[in-house]
Amino acid sequence: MAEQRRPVIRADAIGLSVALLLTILVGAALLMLFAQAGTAEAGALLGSAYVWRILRFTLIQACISTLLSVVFGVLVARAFARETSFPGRRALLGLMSLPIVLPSLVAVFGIIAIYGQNGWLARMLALAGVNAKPDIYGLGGVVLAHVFFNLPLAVRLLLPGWHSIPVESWRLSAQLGMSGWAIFRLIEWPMLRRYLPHAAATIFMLCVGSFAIVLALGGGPSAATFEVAVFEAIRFEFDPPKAAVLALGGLTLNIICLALAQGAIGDAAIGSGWRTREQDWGRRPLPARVMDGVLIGVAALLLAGPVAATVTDGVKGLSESALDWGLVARATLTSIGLALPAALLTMLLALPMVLAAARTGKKGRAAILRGALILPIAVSPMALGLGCFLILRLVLDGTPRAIFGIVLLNAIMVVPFAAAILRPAVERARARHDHLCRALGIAGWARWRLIDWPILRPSIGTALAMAAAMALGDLIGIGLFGDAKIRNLTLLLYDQLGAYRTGGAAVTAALLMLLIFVLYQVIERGVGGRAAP
Amino acid sequence: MTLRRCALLAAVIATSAAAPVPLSADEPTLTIYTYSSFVAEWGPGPVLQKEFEATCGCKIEWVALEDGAALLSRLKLEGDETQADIVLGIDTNLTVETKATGLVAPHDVDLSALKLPIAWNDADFVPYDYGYFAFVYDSQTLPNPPQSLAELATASDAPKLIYMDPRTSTPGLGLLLWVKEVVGDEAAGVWQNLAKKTLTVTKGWSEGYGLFLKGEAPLVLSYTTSPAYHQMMENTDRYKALNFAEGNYLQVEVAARLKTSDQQALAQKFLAFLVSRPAQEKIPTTNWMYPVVDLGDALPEAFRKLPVPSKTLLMPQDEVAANRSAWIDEWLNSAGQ
Repeated sequence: MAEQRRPVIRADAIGLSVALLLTILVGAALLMLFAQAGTAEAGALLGSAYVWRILRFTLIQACISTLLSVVFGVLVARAFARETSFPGRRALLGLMSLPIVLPSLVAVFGIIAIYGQNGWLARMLALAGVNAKPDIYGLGGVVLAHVFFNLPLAVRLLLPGWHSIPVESWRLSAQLGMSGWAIFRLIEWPMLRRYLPHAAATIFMLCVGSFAIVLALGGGPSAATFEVAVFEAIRFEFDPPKAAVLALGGLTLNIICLALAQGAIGDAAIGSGWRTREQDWGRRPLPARVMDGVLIGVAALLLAGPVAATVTDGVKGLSESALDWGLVARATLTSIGLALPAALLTMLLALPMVLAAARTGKKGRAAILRGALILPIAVSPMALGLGCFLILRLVLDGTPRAIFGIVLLNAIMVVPFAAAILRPAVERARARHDHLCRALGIAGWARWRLIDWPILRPSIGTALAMAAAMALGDLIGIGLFGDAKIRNLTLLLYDQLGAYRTGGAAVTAALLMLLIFVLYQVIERGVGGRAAP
Repeated sequence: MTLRRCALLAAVIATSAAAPVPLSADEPTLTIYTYSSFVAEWGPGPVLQKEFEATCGCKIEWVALEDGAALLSRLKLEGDETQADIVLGIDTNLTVETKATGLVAPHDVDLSALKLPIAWNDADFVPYDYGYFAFVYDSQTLPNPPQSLAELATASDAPKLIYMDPRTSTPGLGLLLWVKEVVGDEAAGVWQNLAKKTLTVTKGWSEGYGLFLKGEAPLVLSYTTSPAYHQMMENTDRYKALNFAEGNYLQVEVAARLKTSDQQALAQKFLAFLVSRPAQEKIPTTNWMYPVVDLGDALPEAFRKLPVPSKTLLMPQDEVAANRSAWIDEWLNSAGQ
């Protein structure tokens, strides 16, 4: 017995070590900010009317955005789970992975192109003779942008939930002649209780940390998030400790909300059936199918509008401006060259933790592991980035520091997303095969190769693809480490926009989007194999 | 593609994309901290570097940060250990803070030939270009733009405008000071009025100007020199800048050498080069700002034809440093309602 258990414990230990390392790194990053000169009167700062006003707006917009994204996300994911074979399904799901990884400026301009004062919608209204313009500047615009970003993310995070429901459950429901509501209550809701908290928390934290979008579409200074204050403290007040206090404030807020989400929705045992695919939905009544079609159609429209506008602008920009293609090619290579190592590092961090979290029998350990997995998006990206810079400058210098720092920062920040994708698959693998593996004495590398890898492969492919795509759009790392030789596509885009070159910037934005899309697909299918969703 | 092959590919691409440029051992290196767009391919950085390296027997290393404020905050973080020999791209609103780091060394450059809208006798900072903040308007959608700040703020039919957040952007801070300089204690009222006409307040100039060019609003905070770009590069007179009756706020961009540098002579030589005619001739069409020397006919026509503001506004820098935070609060409280 002892012989067979050891590898399990070892997997635990590796995961825990990674979790501690990550937690220490994030903690050290914040401590480094405190160690700088500044005026951190935490009490006075967190008690100020300004901070409370920011906090209020942050909470309001994040709650509305999260609620809409998640509710709509559940409906759309459900529709996707049922309509398994309509033409373009795969492409649409591929598109769903785009918004979350788009640089915020690209998304803002895409959204403006559709819903802005001079956007497609306004022009269509004018053509129809309606004397009204859509006014998206304000809370509405902020929420719209966040739903654009996060609805697809919610779908991507929730859809595997439906795939995890065992065929036996569906069969039973059919035999018992369950109504739609009964199916939701007895089969789907228990599954959602497992998937929703993480998805909702991830989306909420992204909305809390959102920054440039909130300012651009917010319509005025009252629309600002915590992150604006962090930025101001770092950039214009040169007060890292103040930034750290604010970041800790944001972290506390995030932790409270995470706990609330977990408490409200809870957690359910995972289903342990064998086969999960090939559910036949063919004999569903027409109204239900029409409803599915409408939901998928609306989501597709919401998504495709800004994407199409970005592509159109890019094509237009191509004819308007002469572009230095050598420059674009170099920037593209730099983007890819930084994104792939970052994605691999993300995987090296996330996978051991997720495996350990699924296998550990101890509640405390599981809590530590889950906490570490979500930590990187709970902390202000600006504060985390600056803290990492301060740590790295103790040991590295020049270009190596910049490369290592950018890769590390991106890898860390994507860990929560990779974890969200990996966790359900890992838990499923554990629930189905743990007993068998123990009984047969399959453990360690053999177990990984024979049992876990084939099951986890699709999820690993997706997680790796998302990590790479997110790192592809990096700006924080590049901007922070500031090596003039390392210039990726995102930076090129900002440089073009910062120098009146809107035509060129439109081309770069479209290219960046294309690159993100292609890289995502290649990695997801290449690594994930044919079973990729 | 297996994971392993993927890793291999990544490693190959990473090393090829980031291969360090070989430095010859005997040439000294001059490290310059600047903002990103200065060293973009179309910015002044590459041409200035080429010209300077041709004569100095040295190599320039750029460190490119997001903007002037990022530059200063990096300098503060690094303190005595900074690798920078020169910082380039601080604007007039940040010079007091920069000097307060104790890192700035006197420039020892003869600036008597400089031609700026204000007298320049700063021993520490070398100005290399300047511009006036201005609202740029789209003449196709706005035939009768407001002619003064007062008109912009009070006219009942004033159009929508876009400006930048003074908490996050240099032009945004410029507008804050501009309003304060013109109306003083009545700034709160002006901000309240402007809030009604504000489409949105963006994080940076790029977003704001981008939204303006997309036709989201007919007015945007920018520079009086912005129309020169559209004339020279796009052959259009559509976008024009407004010189307000009360005057326009000045922004001067400066460079300085640092006490911690072990390349004092080289740094001094670069600063002198920066204000020399050959370097200044490059500034207008790369940074789209006015040069600090009189270029005469060498100044592009589009620049010569730009209307110059009737009055130059600039606040004493120590006053800015002392009040920035209070004035931002005032703006937040009056524009944020």
